[in-house]
Parts: sequence; C-alpha cells; structure tokens
Amino acid sequence: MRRATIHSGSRRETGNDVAMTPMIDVVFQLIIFFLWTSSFRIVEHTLPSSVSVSRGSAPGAMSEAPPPEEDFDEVVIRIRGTRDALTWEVNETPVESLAALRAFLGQLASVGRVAPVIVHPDPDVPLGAAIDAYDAARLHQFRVAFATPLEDGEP
Amino acid sequence: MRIPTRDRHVSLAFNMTPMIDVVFQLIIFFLVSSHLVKQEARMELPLPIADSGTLADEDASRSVINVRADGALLVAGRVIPAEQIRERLRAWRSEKGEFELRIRADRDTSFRFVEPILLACYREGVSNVVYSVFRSKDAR
Repeated sequence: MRRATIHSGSRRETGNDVAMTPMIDVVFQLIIFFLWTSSFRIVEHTLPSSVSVSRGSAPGAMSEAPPPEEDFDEVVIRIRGTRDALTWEVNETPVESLAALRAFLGQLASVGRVAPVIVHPDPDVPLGAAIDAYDAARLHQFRVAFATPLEDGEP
Repeated sequence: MRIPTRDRHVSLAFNMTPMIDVVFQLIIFFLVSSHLVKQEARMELPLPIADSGTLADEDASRSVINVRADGALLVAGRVIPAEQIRERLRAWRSEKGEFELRIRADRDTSFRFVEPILLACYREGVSNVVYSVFRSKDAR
C-alpha cells in the first residue's frame, strides 16, 4: 500500500522513513490466509450404507443394495464380547482376530463376491469394532449390511 | 544539506489502495468467521476408523444424529430420548423430502445405542443412512 504524502508549508516528508503500514497489512493478510486454509479438525469421511425398507429380506437386515435374484448364502460375521475381549465368528466358525477376519474375507473375495456379508454385532460391542468388520468387508468390495433384530411379529 | 524531495506537488488523486485493502480484509474476515461458525456446530467425537469411507458430500440434504460414548443421542446440540427418533425422522422428511441421515457416533459407544436409530430408519422408510468415520491415517 502506498502511503499518501501530504505536503504543507511547515512539514515535508522526505520518504526516507521505513513505511511499516504495508508490511503490517501484508503480514495480517498472510496470517489470516494461513489460519483459514489450515484446518485444525480431521477430515471426516462417510461410510455409505442404506437401510433396507423392503419387507421380506432377512429379519432386520440393513442391506446396502437389493438382494440379488439368486439365493446365495450369506456370510454372517458375529461379533461378541465387550471392548477388551472381542470374539469374531464367520458363519459360526471362530476367527481369532480382526486381522484373521480380514484375511478370510480376502480369500472369500478371490473366490467371488456374490454372497452378501451381514455384520451382526452383539449389543455390547463397541461401534468401532462393528465398523472395523464392516469396513473390512467393504474394502473387499462385498455388499455389507448390519443386522438388527426386529421385535417379535414385526414385518 | 537538505535532501531534495522528488515530489513537491500536493497529491489530490483519490488513493484506491487502502480501500481495496480494507475491503479484502473484510471479505476475508467474514469468510473466516462463517467457516469457523460452521465448524463449531460440528460436535467433536472420536469417530470410528474406516478406510473405505468416501469424502462427505456437504451439499446433500442431510440430518445428523450424534451419539456420545455414554449412549446419549444429540440432535442440533440437544439430547433426545431414543423414543423420539421416529418423530424426528418424520419431521425431517416432511421438511426436506428425501434426506441423508448421518450417524456421527463415538467409536466406543455400544452398538445397542445405534440399533434404535437403524430400527427407526427401517420403520420410517429412511434408506439413506451413512456413518461418519475417520481414515486410519488421519485418526488420533
């Protein structure tokens, strides 16, 4: 910013003094710019899912896509326990860890991805652990769903 | 010795530079403050970690339910009982039409606190439900 000089009979600016105003202006602009552009929050992503509103699928299943025409067996991942002691089962076969579950899903994906994966966590299981299993299935491009039991007699 | 001045005439020209400076400062100030207000509205939660998540679409017509670790459900900063979820979903539907329900839940909350939301969505026919997550490289 160029500072306007006003000359009067009694006071004349020589132009030798260092003009601080433009420098302060620029510094403020830079501070505001960097504060604005740097985000202090972690970027959030979304994990798509959708609740099946069609009646007649597996009770309470929240499927991501309509079920296929063919009747393929489902891969049901049961997660039991609490935060400190979680256990996993795939179609009632125990799996020792989340890493083993991921490996199993990888093997299954190499055979085919037609079977939908149903993640069925116990009520006490932390959501983080349920999402871990859900995410593992999604990373192998399975159709995934959360299972939630409906009340008796509910369609 | 007196240093000669280069420019002796009185400058009557209207100087636009300070005005542009001020206008820029104001524009940036209002942009920054509105951005910060938007961020404030988002409750800070340790979200679950998932690498298959996609970048959130902020333009979509959406409603958010926050779930704290203790199971409290928060809508627009207020705690609501689980029995009111269906009522909320109906209200959002009549207000927005088809909408995306975003569940921002603490990763340590029990699945039992998320279940009522999914069941309410099933019963009210809300099909577009997404979970907010962090990528593993971003998560603290």
